[in-house]
Amino acid sequence: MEKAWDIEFQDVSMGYGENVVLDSISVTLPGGKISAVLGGSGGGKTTMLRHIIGLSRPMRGRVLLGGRDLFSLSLRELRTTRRHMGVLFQDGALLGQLTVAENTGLPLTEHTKLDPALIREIVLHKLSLVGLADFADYYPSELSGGMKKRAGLARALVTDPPLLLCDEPTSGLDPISAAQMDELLLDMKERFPDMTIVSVSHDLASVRAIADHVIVLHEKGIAYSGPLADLEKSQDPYLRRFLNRSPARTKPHADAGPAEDTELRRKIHAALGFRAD
Amino acid sequence: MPKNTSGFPVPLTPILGPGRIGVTLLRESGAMGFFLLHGIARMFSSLSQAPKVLHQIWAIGAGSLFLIVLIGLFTGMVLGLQGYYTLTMFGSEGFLGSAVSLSLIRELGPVLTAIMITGRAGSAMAAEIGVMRISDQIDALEVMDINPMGYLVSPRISAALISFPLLTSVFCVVGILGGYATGVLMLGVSGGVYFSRIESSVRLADVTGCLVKSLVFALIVVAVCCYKGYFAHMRKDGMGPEAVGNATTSAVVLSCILLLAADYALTSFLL
Repeated sequence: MEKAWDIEFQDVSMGYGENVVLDSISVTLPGGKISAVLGGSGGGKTTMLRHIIGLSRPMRGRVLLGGRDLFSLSLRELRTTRRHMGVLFQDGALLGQLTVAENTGLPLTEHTKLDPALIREIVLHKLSLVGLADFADYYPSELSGGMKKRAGLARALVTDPPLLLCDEPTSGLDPISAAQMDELLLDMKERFPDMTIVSVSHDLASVRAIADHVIVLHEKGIAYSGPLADLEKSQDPYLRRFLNRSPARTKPHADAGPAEDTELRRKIHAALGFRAD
Repeated sequence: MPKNTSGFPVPLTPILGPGRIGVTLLRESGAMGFFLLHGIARMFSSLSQAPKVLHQIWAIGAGSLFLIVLIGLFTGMVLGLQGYYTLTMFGSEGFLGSAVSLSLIRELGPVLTAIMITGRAGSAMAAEIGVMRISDQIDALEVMDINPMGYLVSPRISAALISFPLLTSVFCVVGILGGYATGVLMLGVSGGVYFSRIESSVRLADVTGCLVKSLVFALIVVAVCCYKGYFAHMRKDGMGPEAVGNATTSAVVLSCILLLAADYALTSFLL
């Protein structure tokens, strides 16, 4: 792949069964940049990512990678396209019966005839990038959630793919690990300037640290698409609430006052056998 | 003609339920058949399959060996005991070797072995693949351009085709020895007569039939268990871990039913 691929959604509707998650969206994620897809829980971020990977088909519209419609490619072309992608799944999606090193090197062992010693060297290099070189021979069940995620990133990076897609790379990580993950993505971008990175997240701090381009999903559509700097200046009420982490309503349970709360609490505690004092 | 809420004529209402079940069964059988063919087609896709096949032979074959020996031994001992007292009623206890060996080789060996492997390895197959499905591992394989059928299902088919006949043979041999233990060592049938009856009554066709059955059973168990796990995420009776549990249960139940049905069909052809 000579030129960084733009990812374009042209009038795309997507969802599951009858349930439409995103309706008629048209948006472009620019190639060679770090794009962040933001949105509330259940807002369609992961669904959008699955459509870029080709794991889910749109109900309507076209998804273009580098100008080519992903869903009109032949199976062979789709497979070739996928070899250009590295994907970090939400929980790492490491294969349980393989060690961290075997997981990381899987694309190389399956698709190349490289010497196993060379594959091991590449794998250890990638694992050292994510700080897991000492855990190469551990099994996924022996790792913490954050370590699994970092191992998943090492696997996604093992072929130095031109397109890196990350599903919630910092969720569930402590602040230091999350910052390390951000650093890692920025480091990757610096090493491979043509790499297109898409990060699906609702971690605002992470998005502010890494993103060049931001898309915000809201109510089955695109609430914002553009540079991060412009998003920060936006006066759109929803975007302001999102950026300022303001709740939708000041009193989420306005119909239940403090007296009702106290009464309910008393009943629950009595049922659980809590002491009155 | 008046129509019901499904749009069918009212007189057809009583057969709608069984009809739907029939259609679902046919659809599932077809899907499972294609799933199996897809897995078989990828069995020889590359040499990299060999280590995975060996791993699966270990899981399905070696892992089940102790269980098969134990079940085979007790089955043979019970056959020896029951056979002896039944044959004594007709003064023909000398035929104990024939009764035990033919029962084991023609029916009990292939069927009980397959059912035992379904309970031990088949359920594990369905659960393992189901967990891989709900935790995005199968999606991850697809994204890495690794065919999940070739990676997960084909090695299990190859391993089952190797393991089932071997385990069935072990079951039959151990069962015959179990019959010897009760009939000869405990109840006093002549050892020479026991084995000479086996030699005179067991034909090559019986052994071939036994192995053919075990191969067919291997395909049934792998197809059903892998299919149920592979599509655990599409189940309507649960989501996530519950779907995997339900998929595993239905894999074992359906495998056992299909094994017995296939046994009847095969016996009809082989006799």
